Amino acid sequence: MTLTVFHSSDYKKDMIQHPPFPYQPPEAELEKASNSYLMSLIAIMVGMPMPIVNLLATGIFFMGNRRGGYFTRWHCTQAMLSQITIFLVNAGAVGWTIYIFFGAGELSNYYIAYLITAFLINLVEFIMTIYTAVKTRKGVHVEWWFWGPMTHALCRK
Amino acid sequence: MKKAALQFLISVALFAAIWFGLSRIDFVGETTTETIGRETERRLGDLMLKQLDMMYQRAYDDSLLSVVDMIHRRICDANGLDPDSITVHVFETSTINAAVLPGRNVIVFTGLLRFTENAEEFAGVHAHELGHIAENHVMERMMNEFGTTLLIMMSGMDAGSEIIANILRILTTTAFSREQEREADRVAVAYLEEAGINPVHLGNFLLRISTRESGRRVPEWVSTHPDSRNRAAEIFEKSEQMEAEFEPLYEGDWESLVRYSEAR
Repeated sequence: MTLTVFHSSDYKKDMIQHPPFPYQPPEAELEKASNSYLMSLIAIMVGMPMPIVNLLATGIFFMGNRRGGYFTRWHCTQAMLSQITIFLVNAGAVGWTIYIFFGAGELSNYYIAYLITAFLINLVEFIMTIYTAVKTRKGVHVEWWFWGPMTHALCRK
Repeated sequence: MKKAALQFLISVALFAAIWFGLSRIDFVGETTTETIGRETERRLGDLMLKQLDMMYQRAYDDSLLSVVDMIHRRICDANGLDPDSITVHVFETSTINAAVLPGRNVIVFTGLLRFTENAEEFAGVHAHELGHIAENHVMERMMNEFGTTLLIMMSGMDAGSEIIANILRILTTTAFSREQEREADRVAVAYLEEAGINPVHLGNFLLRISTRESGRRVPEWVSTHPDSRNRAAEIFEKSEQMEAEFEPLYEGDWESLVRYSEAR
């Protein structure tokens, strides 16, 4: 899985796209949009890597900005959808670990493979989050694979 | 939304592919019963046999042992099993039990032999135990109960230790899962049919032993092989569908053979 930056002319093919946004967002919106991504990172940095914490941080920020401008809401929604997905993947890892810890299951190659897969997804999401936080702060609209189209479907102008 | 659905499906497929691909790598080493190592299994079996030797005498009646061996070879030969790769150990004790130990060992107590009414009943029990070996139930169960690391550690212990005695007690007095018992029954019926031995006798044995479940002296084989009545019914049902003619397995007087061995 590679993270490649493409310009708007070839955005249709990639994990991260930069299509044009309907309007040029004002400075205040750019900051809030960027912060929506940073919320999940802050939660990790303050030492709370439990899967629910990132989701909660992003969720609270989303709720606080649900009446904001379209650019802000759009990126808050994309950040939250990505966190929901990551939460589900990580919850699976934590649940499975607890299951093994209490002797109900045994250490298996499937378990280790799941942990590595979950770690890779988290890593990709982490890099994408940093990248998008920086880009949106500069006013560049960034749409992610799957979460971008989902956000379009959920977030009204 | 169509695009999101398509990308979602591709993402899930990619996730599954990475997960499955990585799971092909053996991260945890000896984690499966197939890979735990025959050597570890053999050592565990040897330890338990030593433990049994400290507890019971080996049966020494040659005529009884030769009949047991004949039955063992007949079932193995008819079913493509190497009879010499599985060892049958007969111990002199009134305990009504038979069990499988790691390392392809079957233990039979003379109490069980005396409880059987004919050679076919013993053949049925033996085929059932061979079924547990064929399906690798013992190591599966030990892996589940103790885990790989502990099993490898235990294989380095000495016979006479409390732990080995406890494992032996667990293997000889507690049951496999119902599914494993039924699986061993299915294998046993197939083995018996191939060997020209009427499986109905295994059903008879199970039925007879089930009537003792509420009796004063409950055979140990009952506690390790639950649900005997229903399993007997399933064996009878399968036997009815068989068209083969079965010859008697042992021409001599079975009761005298097993009783006489006790007197000597």
